[in-house]
Amino acid sequence: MNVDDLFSDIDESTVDAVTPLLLELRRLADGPVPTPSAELAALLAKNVTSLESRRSRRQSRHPFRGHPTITALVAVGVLAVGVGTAAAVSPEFRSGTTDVITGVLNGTPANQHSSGHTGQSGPDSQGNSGGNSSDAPGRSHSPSPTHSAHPGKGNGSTHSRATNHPTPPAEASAN
Amino acid sequence: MTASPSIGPTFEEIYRKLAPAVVGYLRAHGVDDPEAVTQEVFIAVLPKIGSISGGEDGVRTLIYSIAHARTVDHHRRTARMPHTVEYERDLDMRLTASAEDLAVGRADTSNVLSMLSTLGDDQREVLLLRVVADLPLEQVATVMGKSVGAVKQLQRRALLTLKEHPHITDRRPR
Repeated sequence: MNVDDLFSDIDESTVDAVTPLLLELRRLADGPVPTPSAELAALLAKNVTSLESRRSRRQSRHPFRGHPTITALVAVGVLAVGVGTAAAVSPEFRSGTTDVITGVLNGTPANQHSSGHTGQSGPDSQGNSGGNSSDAPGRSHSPSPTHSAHPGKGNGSTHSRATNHPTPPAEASAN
Repeated sequence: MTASPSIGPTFEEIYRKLAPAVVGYLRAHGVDDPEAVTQEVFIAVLPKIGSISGGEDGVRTLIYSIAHARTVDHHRRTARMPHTVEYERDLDMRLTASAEDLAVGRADTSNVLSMLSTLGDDQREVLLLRVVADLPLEQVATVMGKSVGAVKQLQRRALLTLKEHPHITDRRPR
């Protein structure tokens, strides 16, 4: 490179002052060619391609590899489709799902309904746990969501689940 | 023009032509083992060489873009951890040329590197890419991700700063 190219808009005194310095700096580029490492020597040889391109091709065959977010979204989508299909086909599935949602809203594990751990009557449990009823004032006064969800079903098990409010495990052990 | 994917001797020619300057550029940045990093740069360039446009200038721009990124990585790394490489005489800017070096005409760049260290990072980068890498303004702008006008200003300020360096003012006839 001709260092004069650098001085298009520089005054002459600056040019005179820094030219020797820039020529000295330019000598940094005049060193020997570094001996290629084994990997680079192999790549410089003919008919040898970089493994990097193979890696990128393999990556393109598995487009979701290395993208956990996309993989998670796809998994959630597949689950959602499966659940939707099951809900459309099976009324029992819908009923069970409603029970689970009801249990969650009431703060009661759903499996306690189905496993028959309903020995404590609603009024008893409310009476023994006044603190809890004050924590959830709407629970003791409002009708069960199960009733409103299935008003005309007449299903005995559903009805018993709706009327019984089992005691949480800690309270049950205290009783 | 697009570089041919069948690189063989062509890429070797590019390596032989450009590698010394890349080593000098990396050495000026104080990169540990500049020869090894130069080879890493060329290995990184190889898979992309088939898609480069602009012929040799395009290859040169890509090589220095990767080398520039390596220097940025190096400076970030050294900022986080203590410098623990072995002592290398060639990188010691405090030394002056020995009588032996002068006798065999070995390049002594410690003085100029010491002066460059007084510049700002961008000013120093512009001078290294312009002088050592031999890149025109447009390619320097591409490598640094700046406009040509900004590079021109950085270059101008760098030269004016160097002009006022004590090493140069002492040499100046009064």
